[in-house]
Amino acid sequence: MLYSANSTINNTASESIQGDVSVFLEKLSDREFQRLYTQPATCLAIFRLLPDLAKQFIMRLLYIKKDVPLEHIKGWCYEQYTDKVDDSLQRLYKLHICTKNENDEIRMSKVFQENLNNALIGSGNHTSFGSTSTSIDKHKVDIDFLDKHGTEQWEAVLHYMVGANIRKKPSPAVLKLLERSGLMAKKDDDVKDEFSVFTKVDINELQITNKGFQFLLQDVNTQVWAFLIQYLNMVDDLKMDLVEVLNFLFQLGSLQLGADYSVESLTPTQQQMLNDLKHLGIIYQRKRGSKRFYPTRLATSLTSGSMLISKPSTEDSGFIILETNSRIYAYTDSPLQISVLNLFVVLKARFANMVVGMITRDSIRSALNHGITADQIITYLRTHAHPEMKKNMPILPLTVVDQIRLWEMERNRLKDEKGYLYHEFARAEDFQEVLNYAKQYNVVKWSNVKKRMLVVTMEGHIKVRAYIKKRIGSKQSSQHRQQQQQQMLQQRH
Amino acid sequence: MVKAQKGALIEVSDPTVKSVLLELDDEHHFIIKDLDETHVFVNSIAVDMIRDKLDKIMEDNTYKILEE
Amino acid sequence: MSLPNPNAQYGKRSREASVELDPYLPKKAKLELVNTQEGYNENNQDKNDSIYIKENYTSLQLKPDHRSRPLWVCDDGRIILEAFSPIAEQAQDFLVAISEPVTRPANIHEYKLTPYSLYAAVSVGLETEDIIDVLNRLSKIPVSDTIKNFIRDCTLSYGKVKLVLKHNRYFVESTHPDILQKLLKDPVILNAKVISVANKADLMTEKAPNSKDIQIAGLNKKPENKEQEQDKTNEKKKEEDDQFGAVISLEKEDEDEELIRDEVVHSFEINSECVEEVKKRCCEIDYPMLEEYDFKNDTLNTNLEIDLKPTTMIRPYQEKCLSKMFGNGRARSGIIVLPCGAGKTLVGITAACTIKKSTLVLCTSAVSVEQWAREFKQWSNIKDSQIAKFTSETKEKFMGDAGIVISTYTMVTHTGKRAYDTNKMMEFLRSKEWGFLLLDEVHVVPANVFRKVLTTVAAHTKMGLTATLVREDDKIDDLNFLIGPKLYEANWMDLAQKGHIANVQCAEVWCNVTPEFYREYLKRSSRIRRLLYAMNPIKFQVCQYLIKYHESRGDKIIVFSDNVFALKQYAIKLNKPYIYGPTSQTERLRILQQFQNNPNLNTLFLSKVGDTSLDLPEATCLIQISSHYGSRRQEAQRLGRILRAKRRNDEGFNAFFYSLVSKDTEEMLYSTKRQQFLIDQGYSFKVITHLEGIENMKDLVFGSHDEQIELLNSTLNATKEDEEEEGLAQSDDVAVNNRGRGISRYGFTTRRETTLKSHSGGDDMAYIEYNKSAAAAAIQKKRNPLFKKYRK
Repeated sequence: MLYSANSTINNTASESIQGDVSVFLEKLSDREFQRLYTQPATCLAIFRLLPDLAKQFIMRLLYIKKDVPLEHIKGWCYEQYTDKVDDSLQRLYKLHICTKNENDEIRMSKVFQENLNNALIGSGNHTSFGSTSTSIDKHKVDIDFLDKHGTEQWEAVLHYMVGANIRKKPSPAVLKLLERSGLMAKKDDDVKDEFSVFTKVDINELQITNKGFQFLLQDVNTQVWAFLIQYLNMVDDLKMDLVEVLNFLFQLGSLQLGADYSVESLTPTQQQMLNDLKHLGIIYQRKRGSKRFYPTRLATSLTSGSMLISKPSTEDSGFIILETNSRIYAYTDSPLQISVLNLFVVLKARFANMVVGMITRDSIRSALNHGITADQIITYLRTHAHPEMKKNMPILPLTVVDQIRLWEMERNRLKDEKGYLYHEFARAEDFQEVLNYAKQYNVVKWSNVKKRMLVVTMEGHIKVRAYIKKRIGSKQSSQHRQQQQQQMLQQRH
Repeated sequence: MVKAQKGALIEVSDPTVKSVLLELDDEHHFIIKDLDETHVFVNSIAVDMIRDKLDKIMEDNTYKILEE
Repeated sequence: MSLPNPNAQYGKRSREASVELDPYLPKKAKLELVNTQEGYNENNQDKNDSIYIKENYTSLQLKPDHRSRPLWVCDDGRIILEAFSPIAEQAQDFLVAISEPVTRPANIHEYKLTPYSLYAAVSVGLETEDIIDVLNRLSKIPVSDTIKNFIRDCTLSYGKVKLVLKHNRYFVESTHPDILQKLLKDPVILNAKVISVANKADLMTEKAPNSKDIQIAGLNKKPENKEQEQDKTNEKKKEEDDQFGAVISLEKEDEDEELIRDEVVHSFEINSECVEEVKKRCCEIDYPMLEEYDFKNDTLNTNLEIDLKPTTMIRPYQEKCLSKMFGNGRARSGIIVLPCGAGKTLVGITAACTIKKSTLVLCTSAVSVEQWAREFKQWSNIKDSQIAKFTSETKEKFMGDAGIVISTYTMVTHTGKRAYDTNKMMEFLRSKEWGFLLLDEVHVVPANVFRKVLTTVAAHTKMGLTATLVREDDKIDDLNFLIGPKLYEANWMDLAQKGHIANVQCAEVWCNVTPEFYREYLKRSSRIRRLLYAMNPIKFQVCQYLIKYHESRGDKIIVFSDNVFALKQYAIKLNKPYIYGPTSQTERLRILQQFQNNPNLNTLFLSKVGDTSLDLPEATCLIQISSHYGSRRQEAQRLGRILRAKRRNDEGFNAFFYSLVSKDTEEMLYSTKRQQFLIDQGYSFKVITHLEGIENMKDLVFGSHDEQIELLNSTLNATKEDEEEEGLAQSDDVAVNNRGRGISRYGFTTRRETTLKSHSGGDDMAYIEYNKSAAAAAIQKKRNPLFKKYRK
């Protein structure tokens, strides 16, 4: 290769969702897990979130009643993959699906075993997978309606984030979610002011944060889960039962689109959730007290691990054309999508079905200033690329992609950090001592042995200064005293 | 006696930025210590000025497609 | 930013007359569409979003079948086309005929309606309402009234009247008798009318001319086997045409019959002395006349016996140009736009072979003159005695009454005292009635020179050849009106795809500047800055690296440098031959021969002379180490040097074009600007920030710090003279006399206002400063005996 290539970081959305959910789950207690696993839908959902090797293990252990020696399990795999085996087992331990006893034997949780089995063979007496309504809905809605409802609600939330202002405010619960998740914040906390040009800013209004900007560029599945996890974090405050909430979420993932389900089989906690979920567009319930509810596509795709698109999966939802001359033509009339594009594109003209714009240094820098990274922009463009673009390999014009990265690199040409410079060490050993000490506490930002200089962080300064005073100060003062004594002796004579 | 001085550590990604720094310093004298090829220790108040200057140079050297 | 809008209703405005009132320019030439969306929508802010977009056409309802229609039309005259539509090719043909391409990358094209582009449209016979109709049918949204009115304004009176020269008489002709009647009401025109005793009626009526009357040179051969292949492609084309026809609900017209709407044309004769007056008058009353020359029926001017050689092959797009020009059996004046290296010369020569009358060819430099002469002899059967060159070195005449003279713009427009023989020649040129005037590189020529040519030389047909309609100087496209409408414009990417021009990989290589060089750069003024970023040691290394790499791949490399000091330093350091102003003709020829034929000489360094003054051999790799500010046209032209690479049809062949820029200097700005034209044609410039293994290259130049400091010192000590490219007998080169304007060659402007155009290098069309005394002295010394022909 004549020139060095730019590296690309590729993170599939589903991996990150898995990661996020797992992180959350692993905080639960054993008791909570055992309660959780009483629901087959939950077992199935969690099963789906696991990496492939872990899934394999579970399937093999599913019908084994006895404890299985660890060595045995390791024996299932080639030796060079021991690391992977360990990883997978760790996951299973953390999720309390399996436990290891003193004799290095693995046992699967009975509850999990039983209910996963129920889920797989469709047995058991439970409404874990939702109970469909028994009566006919007088106000029956179809899938199109659900899609529309889901999209509208969901986009309204995102739209509010982008600064669409007060006209359509989300429900208080959602507002709380936005704030708690750090996606938006009240004006004073670390907020960008540019949007105040377009909106009348009320001091109590929430404004989008850098994290919020990044969020906007992510795919829908990731976004929905981010909210849900935040919701889960808030559950204690809301005086809701975490396990019930979790179970319901996992249940939603197994429901069928277009079918309506009875509210009666849900716990009070879960019934309460319905209202919150409705505001996010995850479910549809005609009225607060309605006896039935419909899941939208946002719900049914929760645990399938695939990318969610709000239109039927046969139609490619890509709509952006990016040209070699840095112009963008986006086939959309969605105010939300246009708002998102506006984050990093200079929009010039708008038609009923298309928006024309251009990527410029200024527009990218503006996005970078908001905390959005070049990779996020590029991933967004690639994910939403128009079918015509997808005919090419690579999908996006390399020159424009490179240019975006180069503009990002521009910002890193100078890094600065406040700190303290230590210099003028009389002896090399002194310097080395101090350096080692400082390194222990990880506060060294720069050092040079030959020059006997080092820079430490502001926080590290206190420790280091104290250390120096103690060690070298005392040496010096003792030296000094010696010198003084010698001088006095000399003077005497 | 060991000296400790408060300031800001600047790390540059390439020598050009360092040149800009040195050039600015000729006029404003904010460098406390030139540490090595890619690091300089300066008076913290100078940081913004340095950044602005660097940004301005990059901006000046960028062609803007004119709107008409 | 709202503009004074004298015609708020239509969103038009007239540009200030930055061009002096030109009697030959139609009034509407200055019309411009502006975006009036602020007034168009009651509520520019969509109710649902808070994003303010200046041009908001959302109120224009999409037509129900919008998906099958390929374009949108904006109120400022911009047209956006889906190039992936099944009927894109036909749509493109239509759009190129009525508008100017702005940018044509892979998927979405943009075009713009201008008075000139519409003028071109009607001149090939498209009717105003048809244009609007087809545009509307192709558009996803209804075409607004603003656009419709603009199209009407610009076309209603254009292209309706022709000035035809036939049988040695001048006729004002039109298919619309009412328009002629209208003209006759004007006293000036009426005065010019010839009253014929024989024909009492005001107007003469006769059959409309058509292309069957003539034979375009070189287009009569269609071997049978080729026809079978043609059938298949024809079928596919027919399908697409049918689809297109279905969308626009019009019968796709047979190209040959495009003009036969009426079978008859009407005309009246005017006095030949009054021709100029009538032309101006018609412009004034906004009926600019298209000029057509019925050369077949010209019995006064002697025919020129010239024909294309039977072996000469014409490519499809060249054929298209010619059929536009001779579409109705007469020769139309106009402009042809083809990429550099695509064979413009052959188009000109073929046209000359078709018209078969005395032809005057004007070029930008003496070397171009040589090139044209050579090509005439190569492609046609013209006899040596019938072709004459007229440059500062050569003053030839052709034998007999009819012939070809090839000269330069400068020669023909030079004012002031001339040598006796030059004067004689000028008299000859001025007095002759030229059947055909060929204007090469028409957009390089400064506006005033251009104008002068047209008033000095009397020609019946004018053809302008250029690679771009974009002018870098302050004069806008009005000048296009002076030659004639655009007859044809090719699509670069299209030609590349079909193998007519090479595929090129373009790259911009960022060279870091060494700290010492950069510190000086920060401190210094413009002139030294230019030197510093050209002489950056890292750039030397990069150049060395690229040369090494490409030589090992068997490429022939040309390295361009506008800065003469740098040129010499680079060439000498890297041990390669170089050619610049002072290089003698013999030396130039020798080096060029070597470059072409010697397998051991694969790299050649050239100064600006390489842009126009050299007959460059083929190269497959171009490296640019220093260039002239932001001149887009120069960039395109340089690229053209490798577009004609013969190996272009080899599978997977790519030519390479590198622009080396010193990072963090103003060179980066200029570089980006230069690339814009090429980017609009569909090229993209990869940015290379690092070359693998360059630090470890053997014999790396300026590898040590000491060497670099030495280089810095010698650079700082370079004098102004070192940079000057002493003009050697290149006075033919299109040179703008800058002294009058107080701008030095490199653009240190003393004008108060600095427009971006001045930074583009547009002020300075001079590639070589016309150093009168030095050049004159040089001429005395170095006149090459070979070129001494007729000297009285």
